[in-house]
Amino acid sequence: MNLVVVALGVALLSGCGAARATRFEAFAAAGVNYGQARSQFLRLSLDGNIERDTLELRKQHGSLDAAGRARVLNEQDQILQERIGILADLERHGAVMNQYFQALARLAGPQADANAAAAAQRLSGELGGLSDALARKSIRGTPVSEKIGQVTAIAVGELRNRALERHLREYAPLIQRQLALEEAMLSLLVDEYIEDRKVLRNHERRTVLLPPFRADSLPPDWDALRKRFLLAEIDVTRARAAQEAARQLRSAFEGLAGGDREGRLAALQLAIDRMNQFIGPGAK
Amino acid sequence: MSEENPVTANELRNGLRRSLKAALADLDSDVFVDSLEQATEADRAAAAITRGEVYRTWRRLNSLELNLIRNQLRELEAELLRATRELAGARAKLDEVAGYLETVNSFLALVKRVISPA
Repeated sequence: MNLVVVALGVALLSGCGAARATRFEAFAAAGVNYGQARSQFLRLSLDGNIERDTLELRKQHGSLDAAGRARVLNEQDQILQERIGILADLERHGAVMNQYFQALARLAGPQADANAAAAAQRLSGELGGLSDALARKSIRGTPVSEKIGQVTAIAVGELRNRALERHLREYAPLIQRQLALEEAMLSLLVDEYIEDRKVLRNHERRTVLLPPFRADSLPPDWDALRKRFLLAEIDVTRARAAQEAARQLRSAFEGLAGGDREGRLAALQLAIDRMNQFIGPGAK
Repeated sequence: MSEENPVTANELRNGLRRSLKAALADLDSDVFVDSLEQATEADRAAAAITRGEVYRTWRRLNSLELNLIRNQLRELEAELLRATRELAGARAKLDEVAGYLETVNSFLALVKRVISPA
Protein backbone atom coordinates (compact mmCIF):
# COMPACT_ATOMS: atom_id res chain seq x y z
CA MET A 1 0.00 0.00 0.00
CA ASN A 2 2.82 2.45 0.95
CA LEU A 3 4.56 1.63 -2.29
CA VAL A 4 1.40 2.55 -4.22
CA VAL A 5 1.07 5.91 -2.43
CA VAL A 6 4.72 6.76 -3.08
CA ALA A 7 4.48 5.67 -6.73
CA LEU A 8 1.32 7.75 -7.32
CA GLY A 9 2.84 10.77 -5.59
CA VAL A 10 6.00 10.57 -7.69
CA ALA A 11 3.89 10.09 -10.84
CA LEU A 12 1.82 13.21 -10.10
CA LEU A 13 4.86 15.35 -9.36
CA SER A 14 6.71 14.12 -12.41
CA GLY A 15 3.69 14.48 -14.71
CA CYS A 16 4.50 18.17 -15.19
CA GLY A 17 8.17 17.32 -15.64
CA ALA A 18 7.35 14.69 -18.25
CA ALA A 19 5.28 17.19 -20.26
CA ARG A 20 8.17 19.68 -20.13
CA ALA A 21 10.66 17.02 -21.22
CA THR A 22 8.35 16.28 -24.15
CA ARG A 23 8.51 19.97 -25.13
CA PHE A 24 12.31 19.84 -24.94
CA GLU A 25 12.25 16.76 -27.14
CA ALA A 26 9.91 18.43 -29.65
CA PHE A 27 12.10 21.55 -29.70
CA ALA A 28 15.22 19.43 -30.26
CA ALA A 29 13.55 17.49 -33.08
CA ALA A 30 12.48 20.78 -34.69
CA GLY A 31 16.07 22.01 -34.34
CA VAL A 32 17.39 18.94 -36.20
CA ASN A 33 14.75 19.45 -38.90
CA TYR A 34 15.65 23.16 -39.16
CA GLY A 35 19.34 22.28 -39.51
CA GLN A 36 18.66 20.03 -42.52
CA ALA A 37 16.50 22.66 -44.23
CA ARG A 38 19.08 25.36 -43.41
CA SER A 39 21.81 23.34 -45.08
CA GLN A 40 19.78 23.00 -48.27
CA PHE A 41 18.91 26.69 -48.24
CA LEU A 42 22.60 27.67 -48.03
CA ARG A 43 23.16 25.68 -51.25
CA LEU A 44 20.11 27.26 -52.92
CA SER A 45 21.32 30.73 -51.97
CA LEU A 46 24.73 30.01 -53.51
CA ASP A 47 23.08 28.71 -56.69
CA GLY A 48 21.07 31.95 -57.01
CA ASN A 49 24.19 33.99 -56.25
CA ILE A 50 26.22 32.32 -59.02
CA GLU A 51 23.42 32.59 -61.61
CA ARG A 52 22.87 36.27 -60.87
CA ASP A 53 26.60 36.94 -60.83
CA THR A 54 27.03 35.36 -64.26
CA LEU A 55 24.11 37.40 -65.64
CA GLU A 56 25.72 40.61 -64.33
CA LEU A 57 28.96 39.66 -66.12
CA ARG A 58 27.04 39.19 -69.37
CA LYS A 59 25.37 42.59 -69.00
CA GLN A 60 28.75 44.31 -68.64
CA HIS A 61 30.62 42.27 -71.25
CA GLY A 62 29.69 44.30 -74.36
CA SER A 63 30.58 47.61 -72.68
CA LEU A 64 34.12 46.69 -71.62
CA ASP A 65 37.40 46.28 -73.45
CA ALA A 66 39.51 43.12 -73.00
CA ALA A 67 41.37 44.46 -69.96
CA GLY A 68 38.15 45.64 -68.36
CA ARG A 69 36.54 42.21 -68.92
CA ALA A 70 39.47 40.43 -67.28
CA ARG A 71 39.40 42.85 -64.32
CA VAL A 72 35.67 42.53 -63.75
CA LEU A 73 35.74 38.71 -64.05
CA ASN A 74 38.59 38.51 -61.53
CA GLU A 75 36.82 40.80 -59.09
CA GLN A 76 33.55 38.92 -59.26
CA ASP A 77 35.26 35.55 -59.02
CA GLN A 78 37.07 36.77 -55.92
CA ILE A 79 33.83 37.99 -54.33
CA LEU A 80 32.20 34.63 -55.06
CA GLN A 81 35.14 32.61 -53.74
CA GLU A 82 34.98 34.56 -50.50
CA ARG A 83 31.26 33.88 -50.27
CA ILE A 84 31.78 30.16 -50.92
CA GLY A 85 34.28 30.08 -48.05
CA ILE A 86 31.86 31.79 -45.66
CA LEU A 87 28.98 29.47 -46.63
CA ALA A 88 31.18 26.39 -46.20
CA ASP A 89 32.04 27.55 -42.70
CA LEU A 90 28.38 28.23 -41.94
CA GLU A 91 27.57 24.68 -43.12
CA ARG A 92 30.23 23.31 -40.81
CA HIS A 93 28.78 25.31 -37.92
CA GLY A 94 25.37 23.91 -38.83
CA ALA A 95 26.76 20.42 -38.23
CA VAL A 96 27.95 21.49 -34.74
CA MET A 97 24.51 22.92 -34.02
CA ASN A 98 22.94 19.66 -35.27
CA GLN A 99 25.04 17.65 -32.81
CA TYR A 100 23.69 19.83 -30.03
CA PHE A 101 20.06 19.28 -31.04
CA GLN A 102 20.65 15.52 -31.43
CA ALA A 103 22.16 15.32 -27.93
CA LEU A 104 19.28 17.35 -26.50
CA ALA A 105 16.76 15.04 -28.23
CA ARG A 106 18.50 11.95 -26.80
CA LEU A 107 18.45 13.32 -23.26
CA ALA A 108 14.88 14.65 -23.44
CA GLY A 109 13.48 11.53 -25.11
CA PRO A 110 11.85 8.69 -23.16
CA GLN A 111 14.28 5.95 -24.24
CA ALA A 112 16.43 6.09 -21.07
CA ASP A 113 13.29 5.78 -18.91
CA ALA A 114 12.04 2.90 -21.02
CA ASN A 115 15.40 1.07 -20.93
CA ALA A 116 15.60 1.39 -17.13
CA ALA A 117 11.97 0.28 -16.73
CA ALA A 118 12.55 -2.79 -18.89
CA ALA A 119 15.72 -3.70 -16.98
CA ALA A 120 13.95 -3.21 -13.63
CA GLN A 121 11.07 -5.37 -14.78
CA ARG A 122 13.47 -8.13 -15.82
CA LEU A 123 15.25 -7.82 -12.47
CA SER A 124 11.99 -8.25 -10.66
CA GLY A 125 11.27 -11.28 -12.86
CA GLU A 126 14.68 -12.77 -11.98
CA LEU A 127 14.03 -12.20 -8.28
CA GLY A 128 10.64 -13.85 -8.71
CA GLY A 129 12.42 -16.85 -10.20
CA LEU A 130 14.36 -17.20 -6.94
CA SER A 131 11.40 -16.65 -4.62
CA ASP A 132 7.91 -18.07 -5.24
CA ALA A 133 6.40 -15.72 -2.63
CA LEU A 134 7.79 -12.68 -4.44
CA ALA A 135 6.71 -14.06 -7.81
CA ARG A 136 3.08 -14.29 -6.59
CA LYS A 137 3.06 -10.74 -5.07
CA SER A 138 0.92 -8.04 -6.68
CA ILE A 139 -0.16 -4.46 -5.81
CA ARG A 140 -3.81 -3.65 -6.53
CA GLY A 141 -3.89 -6.34 -9.17
CA THR A 142 -0.62 -5.28 -10.88
CA PRO A 143 2.34 -7.68 -10.59
CA VAL A 144 5.23 -6.36 -8.49
CA SER A 145 7.63 -6.63 -11.43
CA GLU A 146 5.52 -4.21 -13.48
CA LYS A 147 5.16 -1.77 -10.56
CA ILE A 148 8.92 -1.75 -9.99
CA GLY A 149 9.37 -1.03 -13.71
CA GLN A 150 6.98 1.93 -13.53
CA VAL A 151 8.58 3.44 -10.42
CA THR A 152 12.06 3.01 -11.93
CA ALA A 153 10.96 4.79 -15.12
CA ILE A 154 9.53 7.67 -13.08
CA ALA A 155 12.73 7.96 -11.00
CA VAL A 156 14.93 7.99 -14.10
CA GLY A 157 12.54 10.52 -15.69
CA GLU A 158 13.00 12.80 -12.68
CA LEU A 159 16.78 12.62 -13.03
CA ARG A 160 16.40 13.48 -16.72
CA ASN A 161 14.10 16.45 -16.01
CA ARG A 162 16.54 17.85 -13.47
CA ALA A 163 19.41 17.46 -15.94
CA LEU A 164 17.39 19.37 -18.56
CA GLU A 165 16.55 22.22 -16.19
CA ARG A 166 20.21 22.45 -15.09
CA HIS A 167 21.24 22.57 -18.74
CA LEU A 168 18.73 25.33 -19.46
CA ARG A 169 19.90 27.44 -16.49
CA GLU A 170 23.52 27.22 -17.58
CA TYR A 171 23.21 27.44 -21.36
CA ALA A 172 20.07 29.47 -22.12
CA PRO A 173 22.04 32.69 -22.92
CA LEU A 174 24.32 30.73 -25.31
CA ILE A 175 21.44 29.10 -27.18
CA GLN A 176 19.51 32.38 -27.35
CA ARG A 177 22.56 34.10 -28.86
CA GLN A 178 23.12 31.22 -31.28
CA LEU A 179 19.53 31.32 -32.53
CA ALA A 180 19.48 35.14 -32.80
CA LEU A 181 22.56 34.93 -35.06
CA GLU A 182 20.88 32.19 -37.11
CA GLU A 183 17.92 34.49 -37.63
CA ALA A 184 20.19 37.38 -38.68
CA MET A 185 22.08 35.12 -41.10
CA LEU A 186 18.95 33.78 -42.76
CA SER A 187 17.38 37.23 -42.93
CA LEU A 188 20.38 38.51 -44.91
CA LEU A 189 20.57 35.47 -47.20
CA VAL A 190 16.83 35.39 -47.87
CA ASP A 191 16.83 39.10 -48.81
CA GLU A 192 19.72 38.51 -51.15
CA TYR A 193 18.16 35.36 -52.64
CA ILE A 194 14.90 37.20 -53.38
CA GLU A 195 16.79 40.07 -55.07
CA ASP A 196 18.85 37.59 -57.14
CA ARG A 197 15.74 35.71 -58.24
CA LYS A 198 13.93 38.98 -59.14
CA VAL A 199 16.76 40.05 -61.43
CA LEU A 200 16.98 36.61 -63.06
CA ARG A 201 13.23 36.53 -63.57
CA ASN A 202 13.20 40.05 -65.02
CA HIS A 203 15.86 38.96 -67.49
CA GLU A 204 13.88 35.84 -68.41
CA ARG A 205 10.72 37.88 -68.87
CA ARG A 206 12.49 40.39 -71.14
CA THR A 207 14.38 37.85 -73.23
CA VAL A 208 12.14 34.76 -73.31
CA LEU A 209 8.56 35.86 -72.64
CA LEU A 210 8.27 39.37 -74.06
CA PRO A 211 9.92 39.15 -77.51
CA PRO A 212 7.61 36.38 -78.85
CA PHE A 213 4.59 38.31 -77.50
CA ARG A 214 5.75 41.50 -79.26
CA ALA A 215 5.98 39.59 -82.55
CA ASP A 216 2.99 39.20 -84.86
CA SER A 217 2.36 35.54 -84.08
CA LEU A 218 2.80 33.65 -80.82
CA PRO A 219 4.76 30.36 -80.67
CA PRO A 220 2.66 27.35 -79.59
CA ASP A 221 4.54 26.87 -76.30
CA TRP A 222 4.14 30.49 -75.17
CA ASP A 223 1.13 29.72 -72.90
CA ALA A 224 3.08 27.05 -71.02
CA LEU A 225 6.11 29.35 -70.79
CA ARG A 226 4.02 32.12 -69.25
CA LYS A 227 2.33 29.78 -66.78
CA ARG A 228 5.65 28.32 -65.63
CA PHE A 229 7.08 31.79 -65.28
CA LEU A 230 4.18 33.10 -63.17
CA LEU A 231 4.02 30.02 -60.94
CA ALA A 232 7.74 30.38 -60.18
CA GLU A 233 6.82 33.64 -58.46
CA ILE A 234 5.32 31.54 -55.63
CA ASP A 235 8.70 29.94 -54.97
CA VAL A 236 10.34 33.33 -54.62
CA THR A 237 7.80 34.54 -52.06
CA ARG A 238 8.11 31.23 -50.17
CA ALA A 239 11.79 32.00 -49.59
CA ARG A 240 10.69 34.08 -46.58
CA ALA A 241 9.75 30.75 -44.95
CA ALA A 242 13.45 30.12 -44.27
CA GLN A 243 13.73 33.37 -42.34
CA GLU A 244 10.47 32.66 -40.51
CA ALA A 245 11.68 29.18 -39.45
CA ALA A 246 14.79 30.70 -37.83
CA ARG A 247 12.66 33.30 -36.08
CA GLN A 248 10.23 30.67 -34.77
CA LEU A 249 13.11 28.49 -33.54
CA ARG A 250 14.44 31.38 -31.48
CA SER A 251 10.95 32.21 -30.22
CA ALA A 252 10.27 28.57 -29.26
CA PHE A 253 13.48 28.43 -27.26
CA GLU A 254 12.60 31.66 -25.46
CA GLY A 255 9.25 30.08 -24.61
CA LEU A 256 10.99 26.97 -23.26
CA ALA A 257 13.45 29.05 -21.21
CA GLY A 258 10.65 31.30 -19.95
CA GLY A 259 8.55 28.31 -18.81
CA ASP A 260 5.80 28.75 -21.42
CA ARG A 261 3.31 25.94 -20.99
CA GLU A 262 2.55 25.75 -24.71
CA GLY A 263 6.12 26.45 -25.77
CA ARG A 264 5.25 28.00 -29.15
CA LEU A 265 6.12 24.68 -30.73
CA ALA A 266 3.11 24.43 -33.04
CA ALA A 267 4.11 27.70 -34.77
CA LEU A 268 7.71 26.47 -35.00
CA GLN A 269 6.71 23.17 -36.63
CA LEU A 270 4.48 24.99 -39.13
CA ALA A 271 7.32 27.36 -40.04
CA ILE A 272 9.74 24.46 -40.56
CA ASP A 273 7.18 22.59 -42.68
CA ARG A 274 6.86 25.71 -44.87
CA MET A 275 10.64 26.00 -45.11
CA ASN A 276 10.86 22.35 -46.16
CA GLN A 277 8.11 22.97 -48.69
CA PHE A 278 10.12 25.84 -50.15
CA ILE A 279 13.35 23.86 -50.20
CA GLY A 280 11.57 20.91 -51.88
CA PRO A 281 11.79 19.97 -55.58
CA GLY A 282 9.71 22.98 -56.71
CA ALA A 283 12.12 25.55 -55.32
CA LYS A 284 14.30 27.39 -57.84
CA MET B 1 25.20 62.38 -36.09
CA SER B 2 24.78 63.74 -32.55
CA GLU B 3 26.44 62.35 -29.43
CA GLU B 4 22.99 61.68 -27.91
CA ASN B 5 22.05 59.41 -30.82
CA PRO B 6 25.16 57.90 -32.36
CA VAL B 7 24.69 55.89 -35.51
CA THR B 8 26.39 52.56 -35.08
CA ALA B 9 28.67 51.00 -37.65
CA ASN B 10 26.04 48.29 -38.06
CA GLU B 11 23.32 50.82 -38.87
CA LEU B 12 25.61 52.59 -41.37
CA ARG B 13 26.37 49.31 -43.13
CA ASN B 14 22.68 48.37 -43.21
CA GLY B 15 21.76 51.82 -44.53
CA LEU B 16 24.36 51.55 -47.27
CA ARG B 17 23.21 48.03 -48.25
CA ARG B 18 19.62 49.24 -48.46
CA SER B 19 20.64 52.17 -50.68
CA LEU B 20 22.64 49.94 -53.01
CA LYS B 21 19.80 47.42 -53.19
CA ALA B 22 17.40 50.25 -54.11
CA ALA B 23 19.84 51.57 -56.74
CA LEU B 24 20.13 48.09 -58.31
CA ALA B 25 16.35 47.74 -58.33
CA ASP B 26 16.11 51.08 -60.20
CA LEU B 27 18.80 50.04 -62.69
CA ASP B 28 16.90 46.79 -63.33
CA SER B 29 13.45 48.41 -63.53
CA ASP B 30 11.40 48.24 -66.74
CA VAL B 31 11.36 52.04 -66.91
CA PHE B 32 15.15 52.31 -66.86
CA VAL B 33 15.81 49.31 -69.10
CA ASP B 34 13.29 50.57 -71.70
CA SER B 35 14.79 54.07 -71.59
CA LEU B 36 18.22 52.58 -72.35
CA GLU B 37 16.89 51.33 -75.69
CA GLN B 38 16.54 55.00 -76.71
CA ALA B 39 19.94 56.01 -75.25
CA THR B 40 23.24 56.38 -77.11
CA GLU B 41 25.81 53.56 -77.25
CA ALA B 42 28.05 55.51 -74.86
CA ASP B 43 25.24 56.02 -72.34
CA ARG B 44 24.28 52.34 -72.50
CA ALA B 45 27.91 51.34 -71.86
CA ALA B 46 28.19 53.78 -68.93
CA ALA B 47 24.96 52.42 -67.45
CA ALA B 48 26.18 48.82 -67.76
CA ILE B 49 29.55 49.61 -66.16
CA THR B 50 27.90 51.58 -63.33
CA ARG B 51 25.46 48.74 -62.73
CA GLY B 52 28.40 46.34 -62.44
CA GLU B 53 30.17 48.54 -59.88
CA VAL B 54 27.04 48.99 -57.78
CA TYR B 55 26.36 45.23 -57.93
CA ARG B 56 29.87 44.31 -56.77
CA THR B 57 29.75 46.82 -53.90
CA TRP B 58 26.37 45.47 -52.78
CA ARG B 59 27.61 41.88 -52.87
CA ARG B 60 30.81 42.79 -50.99
CA LEU B 61 28.86 44.54 -48.25
CA ASN B 62 26.54 41.54 -47.88
CA SER B 63 29.54 39.24 -47.58
CA LEU B 64 31.09 41.56 -44.99
CA GLU B 65 27.92 41.37 -42.91
CA LEU B 66 27.71 37.59 -43.33
CA ASN B 67 31.35 37.29 -42.33
CA LEU B 68 30.66 39.19 -39.10
CA ILE B 69 27.82 36.80 -38.29
CA ARG B 70 30.01 33.80 -39.17
CA ASN B 71 32.75 35.05 -36.80
CA GLN B 72 30.29 35.50 -33.96
CA LEU B 73 28.92 31.97 -34.50
CA ARG B 74 32.48 30.63 -34.45
CA GLU B 75 33.07 32.32 -31.08
CA LEU B 76 30.10 30.41 -29.65
CA GLU B 77 31.27 27.03 -30.90
CA ALA B 78 33.51 25.99 -28.03
CA GLU B 79 30.70 26.60 -25.54
CA LEU B 80 28.17 24.87 -27.81
CA LEU B 81 30.40 21.80 -28.00
CA ARG B 82 30.75 21.84 -24.21
CA ALA B 83 26.96 22.02 -23.84
CA THR B 84 26.62 19.08 -26.23
CA ARG B 85 29.15 17.01 -24.28
CA GLU B 86 27.32 17.70 -21.03
CA LEU B 87 24.00 16.64 -22.55
CA ALA B 88 25.60 13.41 -23.77
CA GLY B 89 27.12 12.89 -20.32
CA ALA B 90 23.75 13.38 -18.62
CA ARG B 91 22.17 10.83 -20.97
CA ALA B 92 25.03 8.39 -20.29
CA LYS B 93 24.35 8.66 -16.54
CA LEU B 94 20.70 7.77 -17.12
CA ASP B 95 21.74 4.79 -19.24
CA GLU B 96 23.99 3.65 -16.36
CA VAL B 97 20.85 2.92 -14.32
CA ALA B 98 19.68 0.39 -16.90
CA GLY B 99 23.26 -0.86 -17.14
CA TYR B 100 23.52 -1.56 -13.40
CA LEU B 101 20.16 -3.31 -13.41
CA GLU B 102 21.18 -5.50 -16.35
CA THR B 103 24.41 -6.42 -14.52
CA VAL B 104 22.36 -7.54 -11.52
CA ASN B 105 20.01 -9.44 -13.87
CA SER B 106 22.96 -11.33 -15.38
CA PHE B 107 24.26 -12.14 -11.90
CA LEU B 108 20.88 -13.42 -10.73
CA ALA B 109 20.49 -15.52 -13.91
CA LEU B 110 23.89 -17.08 -13.12
CA VAL B 111 22.85 -17.73 -9.51
CA LYS B 112 19.67 -19.46 -10.72
CA ARG B 113 21.68 -21.72 -13.06
CA VAL B 114 24.01 -22.63 -10.18
CA ILE B 115 21.17 -23.27 -7.69
CA SER B 116 18.96 -25.24 -10.07
CA PRO B 117 20.98 -26.64 -12.94
CA ALA B 118 18.78 -28.01 -15.80
